[in-house]
Amino acid sequence: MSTPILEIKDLHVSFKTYAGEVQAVRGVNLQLEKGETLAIVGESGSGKSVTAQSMMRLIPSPPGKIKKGEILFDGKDLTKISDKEMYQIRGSEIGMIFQDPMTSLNPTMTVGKQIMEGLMWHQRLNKNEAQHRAIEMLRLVGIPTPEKRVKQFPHQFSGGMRQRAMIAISLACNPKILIADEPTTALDVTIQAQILELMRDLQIKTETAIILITHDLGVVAETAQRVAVMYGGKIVETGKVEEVFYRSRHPYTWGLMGSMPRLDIERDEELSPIPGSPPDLFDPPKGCPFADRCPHAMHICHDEMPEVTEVIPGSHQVACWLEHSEAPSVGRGTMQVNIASK
Amino acid sequence: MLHFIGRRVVLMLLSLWVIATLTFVLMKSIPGDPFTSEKKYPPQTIANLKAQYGLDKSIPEQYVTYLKNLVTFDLGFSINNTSRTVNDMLSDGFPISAELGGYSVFLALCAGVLMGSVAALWQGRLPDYAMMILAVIGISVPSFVLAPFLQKYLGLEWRLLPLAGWGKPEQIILPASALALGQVALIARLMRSSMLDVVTQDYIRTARAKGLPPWRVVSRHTIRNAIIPVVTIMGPAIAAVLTGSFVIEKIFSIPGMGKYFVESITNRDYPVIMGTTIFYASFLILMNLIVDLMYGWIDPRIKVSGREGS
Ligand SMILES: Nc1ncnc2c1ncn2[C@@H]1O[C@H](COP(=O)(O)OP(=O)(O)OP(=O)(O)O)[C@@H](O)[C@H]1O
Ligand code: SF4
Ligand SMILES: [Mg+2]
Repeated sequence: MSTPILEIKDLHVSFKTYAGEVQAVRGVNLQLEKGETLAIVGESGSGKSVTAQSMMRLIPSPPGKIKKGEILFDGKDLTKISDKEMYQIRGSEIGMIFQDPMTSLNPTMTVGKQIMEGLMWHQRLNKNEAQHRAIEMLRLVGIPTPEKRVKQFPHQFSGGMRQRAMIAISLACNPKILIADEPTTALDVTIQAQILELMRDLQIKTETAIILITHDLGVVAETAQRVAVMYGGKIVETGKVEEVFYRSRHPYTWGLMGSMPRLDIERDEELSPIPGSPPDLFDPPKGCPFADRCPHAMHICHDEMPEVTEVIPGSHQVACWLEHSEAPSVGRGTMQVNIASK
Repeated sequence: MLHFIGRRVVLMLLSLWVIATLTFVLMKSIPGDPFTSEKKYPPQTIANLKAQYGLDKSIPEQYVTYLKNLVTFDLGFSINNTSRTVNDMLSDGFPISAELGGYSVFLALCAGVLMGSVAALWQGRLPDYAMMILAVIGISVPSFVLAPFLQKYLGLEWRLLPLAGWGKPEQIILPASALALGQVALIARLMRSSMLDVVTQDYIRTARAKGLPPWRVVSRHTIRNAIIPVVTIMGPAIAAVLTGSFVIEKIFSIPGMGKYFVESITNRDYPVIMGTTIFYASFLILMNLIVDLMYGWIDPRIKVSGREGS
């Protein structure tokens, strides 16, 4: 395995609120390889966005704070460098796009200026050069008549075009990493497919590594090479897409797959969402975060956090007590039967 | 664009007609007339005077003449100061009032936006509290109370600025500040809440994600968007400053419109009252139109400026 371009080690992020401290991210470890697409999946509130925003140091602070851990990029720990160094990295080395293209663009500034801004700041281009490049970027993301479009305002763009413009903004400075936090959730299904295809094309052209946060396992299957499954502020399973999809080892991943609509098998029963609710992050459990909902939970699961087991060293990892040599052997099928019988 | 302005001009004329009519009706329903006074004039003199100003005719007839004259911009002669037309008074006094008002509005806008932004950026800290206290004072203390205060301290005791008068640049500072304070407070409060709203918007996060340093995000993205609601209250702010200036002019002995307006009311000088009212009404309506056009320019989503839509 080559040295990863970005490595997160034991990241902890908390938010101070009136009700107490929300421990949104509790010890996340992640590696991102050059040019790959890593998907982060997991249910709402599991800490995906907080993890992504930590990499850009965009956590709203206060109340948010990185309590512990390292984010290594280009030999630097992004949690420790000065604000000034961070401004050099944001937008230039790491770009980010967000869920809602309708609200993510400044309504009072032309789309062209919004692309040019980063170029003029990071690469010290003059106005002409920057505009030239902005037009080029709009063409690259598939916006017709870009010469005309650079001078327009976001409200003159459709939703899909705005997300394309967002991609143009985030890729303008040729970043090494692109973080996409649910980039297609707010779009129509047909537009979703176009945007994903665009991202795949651009990745091949630019060799940007992508971190893709999504709820949609179909998107993962089509776009990503590796997946990290998050639950309760922790990563419970990571691996290549095939490993996690077809040979998953974690009961939560089984549940997640079971709660997804599938086209390839006919089913009579309803989709089975995982019963129960996610752990209380104000007072997170000391053991496995999934223990309250896991049909295979054992005593130890409630008391102690399972170690990470390397199922396939350097590739497929899972944090579950079932990997322990003394644990009973259960399979994915059992889980689905269990859920169906509830 | 032209279509928009055309429609607005028609509406403007309509409102002016309503204002003109209301002024006329109010004027006629006030007891007494310009020739009511302690001194007894011979009835014949009064009758002659009334005839000269057309006050002997029936009220509908007076109304029609009045409207006719308005349309030709003939506001007539003052009754008290027979050598002068109302137009003369306006051209003497209004530029001075407009200058004072212009400085006040400008001051209110700059100071209000600045204070509101600073308060929002330091939310919950000292500058914020200082601003809020100032805003409460500014909103609750009327300008005619503040003015003598400023005169007493800055003018008399510390001798920093001239007490009153008009003509030198330093003479404008005190009256303009007294006039602006209330508006500064209003604008600052609006700007503060608008800034606090804008900083949580997604596009501000986008700007930060581009790697722009905070001052660039604030100057290029936050303030630009936060100022939009402020522009919408500029119409009322201008109106408040203009009416407030009547009193302030009196306090600082500034030879603007205020003097004429106040005198004309105590003397029931019909032509002057109606003339100045109509003039101020048109001016404010025009200002509102300009503010609306500005609004379209500052917020491209509003399509008054005729930018081509998608
Ligand atoms: N600004 C904040 N203040 C307080 N708590 C926050 C804040 N932002 C996030 N959290 C908490 O952090 C936890 C993780 O949130 P996060 O946004 O990362 O979830 P997510 O996995 O991205 O979910 P979704 O799929 O809904 O986007 C949540 O419990 C949330 O309540
Ligand atoms: S550690 Fe225990 S509770 Fe957690 S997923 Fe594995 S079996 Fe279930
Ligand atoms: Mg999220």
